[in-house]
Amino acid sequence: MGDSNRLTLVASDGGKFVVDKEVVQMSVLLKNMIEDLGETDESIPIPNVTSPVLTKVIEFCENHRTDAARTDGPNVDGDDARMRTAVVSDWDRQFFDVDQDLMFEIIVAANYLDIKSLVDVGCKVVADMIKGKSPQEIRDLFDIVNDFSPEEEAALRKENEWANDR
Amino acid sequence: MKENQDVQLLLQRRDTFVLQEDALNCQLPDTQRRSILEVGESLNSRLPINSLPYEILVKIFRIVQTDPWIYQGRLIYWNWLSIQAVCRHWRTVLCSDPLSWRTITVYSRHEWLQICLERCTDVHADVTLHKKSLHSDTLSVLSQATPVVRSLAIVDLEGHRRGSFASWLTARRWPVLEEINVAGLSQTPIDSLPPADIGLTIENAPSLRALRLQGRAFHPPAEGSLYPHLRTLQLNLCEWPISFGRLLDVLENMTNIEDVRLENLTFLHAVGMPDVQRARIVTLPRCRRAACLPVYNINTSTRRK
Repeated sequence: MGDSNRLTLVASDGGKFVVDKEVVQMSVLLKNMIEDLGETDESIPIPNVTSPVLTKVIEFCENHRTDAARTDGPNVDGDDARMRTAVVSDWDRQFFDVDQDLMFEIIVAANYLDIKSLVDVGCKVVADMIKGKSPQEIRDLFDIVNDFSPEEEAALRKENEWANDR
Repeated sequence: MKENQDVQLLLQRRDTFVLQEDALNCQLPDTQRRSILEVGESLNSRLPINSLPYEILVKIFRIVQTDPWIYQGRLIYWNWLSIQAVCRHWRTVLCSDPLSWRTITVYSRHEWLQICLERCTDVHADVTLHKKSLHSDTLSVLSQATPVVRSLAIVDLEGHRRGSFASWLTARRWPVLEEINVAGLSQTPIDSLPPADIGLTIENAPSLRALRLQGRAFHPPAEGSLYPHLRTLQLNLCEWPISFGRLLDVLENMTNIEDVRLENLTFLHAVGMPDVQRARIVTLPRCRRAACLPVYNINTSTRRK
């Protein structure tokens, strides 16, 4: 019989992670699974998340484990209000100081695992990267190609003019 | 000198290339141009950022729109519309999210109001109209949308427009309107027109809970059906042609008021303070904040009469 306070997560590439239940329960998806399974030694497969991403997700949850009660509580004011009050600490910024592929994979995994605080912080970090930049600067930042036709660009220019014509 | 000539030469060469590129683009058949754009779109769909689920991208865009941008300790204005000009996918995502378009500020062009209202289908809109936008085209567009307007703010309403605006406002029903703010320009004695009645009643604005008027353009409604439902009444620099006794009647009716601020008001029919015989205690049972400047004081005590 293993430690009843810990359980094993298995990443999509077979990597195994032994984690405190308290930490795992920051994920609403895993919390519900644990409640459904009851006391068990079975490991939990996470088919959509690779080991490097799961490592980061667990790192975040371990660092924020004391916030868990706050994020799991009833969400009376809705998503938008929570997003507005989500604070991005220096630790969080450091945590997301990774290459873009990994950054977006972490956000996708957090969304899949339903870890609201990680989704919120990830979205805020990306939003901060976008703010204050011109369309071309945003394209350069994310390697996006300008795929508008000249007609669509003209329509966009017109809209922009209507919005800002004082 | 030499360096300047080099820069000029480079700029001339660049202009030539730009002209050649435009000419080449024009020569490309439409099908080929479309193919190039399709390849671009396909490349974009494979990017890590565009692998984010729709709801996450929307979440990011909403933060970009609503969070103030503070750079090096300073609050900086930045036009969030930039994000819809990045690529077709972003524009599609943004345009299909009604909440992104619910806060509408119109400076002058009614076309902008039209576009935003079309995109915020099924959600209630918060509309702010600046003085240059207050023409018949804008009001005609807004007339079609009265069932979805949740809040309406008018900035710098010019004195001569008050009558037509009041008629337009009161001729319509505003079923979900919760808040109206009107700030008039006419605060000077030069404007000799009397203030107009804002004219809203419980019949045409059954959900109205907050009324804020600033300037001489309007005074609160003479008809009193709205007052028992108001939670906020803020008047600043207004002329309110009622007697002090009638003001007390109005206050007494405001059984749900939580925030009342009467600042720098002129009561046309009030002469001095009321005598002790006519004065009475008015109880505002739910009031949490009250200010009456500079003449009268309001007792915010919750004790019953």
